[in-house]
Amino acid sequence: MRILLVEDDPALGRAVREHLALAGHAVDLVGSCADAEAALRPGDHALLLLDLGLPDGSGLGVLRAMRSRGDWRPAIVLTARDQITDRIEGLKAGADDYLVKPFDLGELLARVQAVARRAAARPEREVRAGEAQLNLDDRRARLRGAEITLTAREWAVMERLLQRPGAVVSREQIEEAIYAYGAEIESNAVEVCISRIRKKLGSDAIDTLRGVGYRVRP
Amino acid sequence: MRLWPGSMGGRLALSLGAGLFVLWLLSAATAALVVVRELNEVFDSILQETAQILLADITTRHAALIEADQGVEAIIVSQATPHDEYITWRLFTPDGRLVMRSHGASEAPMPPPGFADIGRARTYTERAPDGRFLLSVAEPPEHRPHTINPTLWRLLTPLLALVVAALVLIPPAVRRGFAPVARLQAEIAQRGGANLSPVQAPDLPAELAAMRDDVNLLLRRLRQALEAERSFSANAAHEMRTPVAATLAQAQLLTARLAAESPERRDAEEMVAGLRRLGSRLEKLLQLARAEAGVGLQRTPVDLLVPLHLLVEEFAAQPDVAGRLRLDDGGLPALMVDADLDALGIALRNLIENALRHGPPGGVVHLTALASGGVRVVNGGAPLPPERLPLLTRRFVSHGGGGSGLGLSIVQAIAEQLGGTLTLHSPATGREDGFEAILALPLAGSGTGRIKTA
Repeated sequence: MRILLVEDDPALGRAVREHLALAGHAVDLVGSCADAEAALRPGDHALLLLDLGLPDGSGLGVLRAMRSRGDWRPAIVLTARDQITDRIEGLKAGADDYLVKPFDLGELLARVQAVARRAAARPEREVRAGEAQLNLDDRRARLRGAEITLTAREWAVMERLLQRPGAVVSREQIEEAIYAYGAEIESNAVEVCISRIRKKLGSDAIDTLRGVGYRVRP
Repeated sequence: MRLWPGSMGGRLALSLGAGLFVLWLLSAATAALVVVRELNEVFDSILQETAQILLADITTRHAALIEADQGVEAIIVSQATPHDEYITWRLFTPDGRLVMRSHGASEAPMPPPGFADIGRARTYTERAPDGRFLLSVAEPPEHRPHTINPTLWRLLTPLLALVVAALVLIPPAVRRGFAPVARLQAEIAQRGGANLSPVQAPDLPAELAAMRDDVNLLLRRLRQALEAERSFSANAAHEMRTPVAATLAQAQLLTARLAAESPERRDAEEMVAGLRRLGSRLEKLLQLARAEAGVGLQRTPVDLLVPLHLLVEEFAAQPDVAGRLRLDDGGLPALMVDADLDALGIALRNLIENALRHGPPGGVVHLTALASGGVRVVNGGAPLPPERLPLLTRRFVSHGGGGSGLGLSIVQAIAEQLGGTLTLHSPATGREDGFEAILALPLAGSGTGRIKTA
């Protein structure tokens, strides 16, 4: 797997690159936001490892820009910022995982593989959400054998959540998905929609991560 | 009901009102005394002059009748038209025999010469210059009060009305006067939590303006101190964590390249373990620095369940922790407490780490959100001797298990800053073994979420 590592500390960058290389991954190392943006554009990296405190800005900016372009490649934040608000901010910006320095290289590798596995499952059009089965191609949902009808807005939310199965999607990002679908949105539209979907597909179809957002467990 | 009010305004209004009322009582009493005395003097002088005029008049006008007096029966002189008798008179001989009297005069014995009070009537008795007769005039008892009382009323009623009006007007006037104090108080009350902005209260009286400026100076210093601390620990975190992370990664890489079972490999593994310890000590020291610098002083309403769920999720991602944490959020939709999210995160993280480290290997840790505002963390293991419990929150006193000896003291410091408490029990409540830590915090909006200066 080809991985983009954004880290401005050369010693740490080299050690991480070599360790991941030992596990068979190809790692490109860059040290700034600008280089990261440039390297991400061709789209041939399968995963992003992102430091937040970079010389020309915050890695979160890179992540947000990526997500707003509709780039859902998995990203793991590697940072010295260990506060709970930093973690919430990172997850809301679209990080799939958040690892605080100093970390164990073995643990980093395990996280990389877990996130990659989750991301690789995405191309499936027939997916599970809790007990429900969804087919994204013909927009059909089944719960314990029974056919369930979802509204267009509910499908928009489910598709947004299933773009990154297992990763947390913030309320704002879901709101954008509903908005993109072209409907008038009320302030509690996301909550209302999520609770309707849960009624139809079972309460375990969508998980809430308090203070951060929602996710579908694959 | 408390008689002495707690507010300055109330006290001022009450003392002003009471003082005014007492002053009114004193001045009313003095005025009444003076008026009564002066009026009595006037009445006495009228009585005296009446007697003198009447004596001359009667002895001249009724000379014939007096000469014909047989000394048997008093002659009654009656006026032509009936009228109220304000003053009655009697004529006596020096030996006290009643010679003549006016209509309505009493039959009582002769009063002594000069002024006298007989019964409740006022009398004045005058001796004729030739000494043959004495004339006694009397005023009926009800005559003087009948005149003096209305006079007193007319004098004192307007004064009383003034006092009542003043008593009614004092409270609003005091309230108005104290309005700037209330305004300043409301502004200061909004401070605390995350709001350390300068107090905005223009047009204050000079005394209060000085007080406002002092408060603003203090707020600015507090804000600067908190900002400096926050940026220091953020920088320190970055400046120290990254080199440790790099060294640890290099050491791990080195270890992986060395042949298994070789002495070099063992040395390298020890280095890795040492660097890991350094990393976790560093984390604890940064947490302690944050706690010491008052990371918990800036409080806003936060949902305790947010950091609780996030931390459980984070810990559960570690392979050796997965399945050991059981979170019971009591089905609460949210648990709003007055706290700082990061301070709360540090406290909860330490409670969880402590329970995982000191519980039996693989043992379950129960986390329970308390609707009263707080969280209970319970782990298993042999109960601790009671005398050990107070030592657990002492700094750098390690209790085995490879801990830094800082965890619970950090929790304790943060709990105090958040206006909460950390309570430790062993054995855990309702069990025969284990250890229980309860972090209790003020619920949001409970009114205790103000800056603690201690």
